[in-house]
Amino acid sequence: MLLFVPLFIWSQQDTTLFEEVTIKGNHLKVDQHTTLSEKDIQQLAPHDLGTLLQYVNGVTIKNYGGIGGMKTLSHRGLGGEHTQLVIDGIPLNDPQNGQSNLGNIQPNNLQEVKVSHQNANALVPVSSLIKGSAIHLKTFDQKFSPHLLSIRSSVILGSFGQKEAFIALKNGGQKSFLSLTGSLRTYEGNYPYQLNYGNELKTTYRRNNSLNDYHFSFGGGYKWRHNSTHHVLKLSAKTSGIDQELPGAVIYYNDMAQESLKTNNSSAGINYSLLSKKFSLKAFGQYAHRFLHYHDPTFLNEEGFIDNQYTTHSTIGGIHLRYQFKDFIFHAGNDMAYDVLMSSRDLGNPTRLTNTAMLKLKYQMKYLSAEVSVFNQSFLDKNSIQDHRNDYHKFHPQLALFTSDKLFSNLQLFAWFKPSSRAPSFNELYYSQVGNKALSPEESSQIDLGFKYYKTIKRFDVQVNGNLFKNEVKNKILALPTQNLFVWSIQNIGKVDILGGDLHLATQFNINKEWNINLQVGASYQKAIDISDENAPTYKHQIAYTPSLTGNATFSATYKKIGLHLAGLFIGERYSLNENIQSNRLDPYITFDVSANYSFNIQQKHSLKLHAGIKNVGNSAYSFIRYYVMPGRNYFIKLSYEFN
Amino acid sequence: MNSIKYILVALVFLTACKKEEAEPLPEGGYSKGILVLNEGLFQLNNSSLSWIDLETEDVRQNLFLNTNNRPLGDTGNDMIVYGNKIYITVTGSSTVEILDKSSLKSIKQIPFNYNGQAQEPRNITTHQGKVFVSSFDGYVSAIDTSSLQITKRIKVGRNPEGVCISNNSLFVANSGGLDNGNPDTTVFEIDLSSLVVVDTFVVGANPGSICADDYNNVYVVKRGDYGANPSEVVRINTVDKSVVNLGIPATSLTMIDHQLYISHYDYNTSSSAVAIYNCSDQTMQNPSFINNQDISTLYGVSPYQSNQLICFDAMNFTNSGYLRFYNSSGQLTNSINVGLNPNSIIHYE
Repeated sequence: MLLFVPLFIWSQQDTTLFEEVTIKGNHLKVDQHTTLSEKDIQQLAPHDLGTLLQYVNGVTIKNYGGIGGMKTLSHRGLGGEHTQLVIDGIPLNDPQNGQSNLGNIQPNNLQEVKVSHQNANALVPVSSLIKGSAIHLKTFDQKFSPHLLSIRSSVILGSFGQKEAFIALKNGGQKSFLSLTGSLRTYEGNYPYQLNYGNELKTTYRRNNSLNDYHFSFGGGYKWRHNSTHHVLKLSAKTSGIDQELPGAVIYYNDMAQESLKTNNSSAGINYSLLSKKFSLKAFGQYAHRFLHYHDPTFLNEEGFIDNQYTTHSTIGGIHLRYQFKDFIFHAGNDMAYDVLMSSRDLGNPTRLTNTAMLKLKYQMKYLSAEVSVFNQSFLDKNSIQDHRNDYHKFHPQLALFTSDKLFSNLQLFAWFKPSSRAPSFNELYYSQVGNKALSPEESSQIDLGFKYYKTIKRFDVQVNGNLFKNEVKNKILALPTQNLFVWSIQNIGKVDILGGDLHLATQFNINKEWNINLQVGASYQKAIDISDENAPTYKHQIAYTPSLTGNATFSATYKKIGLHLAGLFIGERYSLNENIQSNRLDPYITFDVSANYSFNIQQKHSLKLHAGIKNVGNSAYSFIRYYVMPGRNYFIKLSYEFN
Repeated sequence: MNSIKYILVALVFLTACKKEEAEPLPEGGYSKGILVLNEGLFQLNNSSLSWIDLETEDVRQNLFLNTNNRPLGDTGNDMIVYGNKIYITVTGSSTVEILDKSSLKSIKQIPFNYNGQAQEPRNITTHQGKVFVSSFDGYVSAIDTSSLQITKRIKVGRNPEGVCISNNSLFVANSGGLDNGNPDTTVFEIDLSSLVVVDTFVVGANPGSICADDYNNVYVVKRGDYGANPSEVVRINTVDKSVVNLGIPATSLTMIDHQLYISHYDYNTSSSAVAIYNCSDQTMQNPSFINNQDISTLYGVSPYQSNQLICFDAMNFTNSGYLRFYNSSGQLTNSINVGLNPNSIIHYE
């Protein structure tokens, strides 16, 4: 079990893992992150990345449905646009929507998921360092392996017509690897839900909710050494297709939705790393093609339907250098992205050039390490059909302080300040009638004070982690009806003040060779209030869909080849609109998942595992977003086979 | 693990116990009050009825839910009283609700579906035992008020909205509002004896609110394109068939005796205004009847008692709205908080 396992790994030495090469220093690992390992991911058996990230403290997933349902992230009161998704070292952007749908990212090949706030030493893309937070994914596809052949495969059957098959093959060696993965999934999605009719709950079935998807990827890597300098080169190519029906919000008396969405994503990327004793470098490049096809056959316009197609071309490249001189570490980096959107709608052909530049200096003293960095963010927008707002350039300083283990053993204190801007998405700028080309980027700032405590007493490990944070969002981009209820517009009018804290406890107890117990509990509180206009009725009200209290707990016990896993999630009350009145309030909910697995060992390197479980054991009728109903109790069974 | 579970369960109960209690119905039915239809917001199923007791000024929210033990639905767009029944068009839910005026109990819910597609009913008018309902699928349906059945579907233009009666004709504003950039521009005249379209008037882009005076005129708001083409009042003379743009900025219209109350919310300046146009001599009686400082988002006006006015304040459309009461000289006398986006009222004497 044990989410956040890697935090146990940081020890008395600073181990900055750079691919397969390790630098050692005398400081505690100062990266501020929480990590889910491959084992955690398997034990939670999530449908997608969004479901998985619910178990990271401080992350709120805005969940629009079960399998296939859109899932977006909000971290410490900042919108999903303030979080950068990085897959195998390459940032993934969706300039059309401004944030990634985490419901479209499958966990099959994930080996590590890391949510990071403050990266001290790692050579990650600088565009992920400027963002409020970053999610780093590492996949089986892009990892070197010494084995000639490795296999990961699984078959899943689940409630409501869920059928999944996944296979990944890797040919490894001392210097190179080639990988090939593929997955197929179908889902009917006709789950029952309960709808409140005054004093009565009526059971209805979700319809127009089916999904078919496929994901294929190819990876390759080569590494070589020249004197004491290591070089690593990796290539990847991916394609996926998702064909889904969109059930939309449940509307009373009108269950006639027939909308559908097809998504095709393809990308090709290259990643190069160089590491020597003093100097290191990482460079990457990626081209991504994204195609969306929305169809509504019942829309009441002249044609009698809506059929919209959107194609986004995104190209991104970046470099990040690190040089160590005595107790100083210098970083410099730059990411540049160019995005183009083409569509069958009258949005014009918007383009954006995004540039992020960074200079950073870290100084390691005996008791303290300090980090000062300065970022420059630029957004240069153009569109063939309209005049445009001015180019945007902004300098953001960042500061971080960490204590070393020489000051307190087993305890680290830290403080950091992090401002950032996020550009308006193409939809926010140009979407017909709604869009507003005069929008400015939304600006956020975060101040964090925190601690980490780690102790091992014989076979018992404990870690406690806590933060207090004070964040602010200015020029918040909000969609509001303007002329009437059907004419919305997007405006830079919001200002949000966020004050909160989180506490996380993780324990691991290795009782003996056969018994092992893990428990982790996290709770997070955030008061995220609207301070846009002191005369507005929503002044100092908690902003929409931001629960002030969330909590999660996971427990696992393994005995020999058997494992038992429990996971619980609490989402506190929230409001569907910014006005905190009873009619906008959504009830808190708790869900519990329980599962068990048994491992058959055929031979030493072969592993066959059966995993079965019940999700939402309590059959809780809930929705995070009002009227986007979630499934009740449901079941899954998973058979997986691994070699090497 | 168990103790954690109990703590979390306890948290749920602590926070879940703040629920509102349903209130009992008054003895002898509703009287001396104002019934308010709150449109709610699209896709939130939160259209509701509020009741204002005029003696105590107490407001009861969610009256439909508490009376009928089911919600009204999504986007209640229009409400009228005819005889002892109330008719409500619920656009998102695609239903017409028929209520008993005295008890507010639902007599019938008419699903507005045709061939498995939602028709999305919009506006209502009445004439001689018939209720006429426009729906976004391009039809006006006639409902017989005794059988409560749809007796006739009349094909009109695209996405019809406002409907009104003048002499023996039904006028329908065809908005075409769901065709972005290509709205309809016409008002259809339907003969009430034959129920066929007998005339077409081109009034300008995206016609919406419509009403008739006693002098053979029909007034309609052509909403333009929310940009260079402004939202203005257009007058149709039903006798000489002339169409004249009066050039008066408007979002919705209400006829009170011989006076046309023109409400206008300018979203560029966030200012609200009510103008009074005298229909008998076709002059602007008062271009600025109320002080726009009193209202944040004017969403319509309604006559109240003999010489008062109620303005609907939608409070930026996302906050619970207010009814703002004005006396005959245009001074604010009272404000009452109701539900989300109030758009129609019925005054119970």
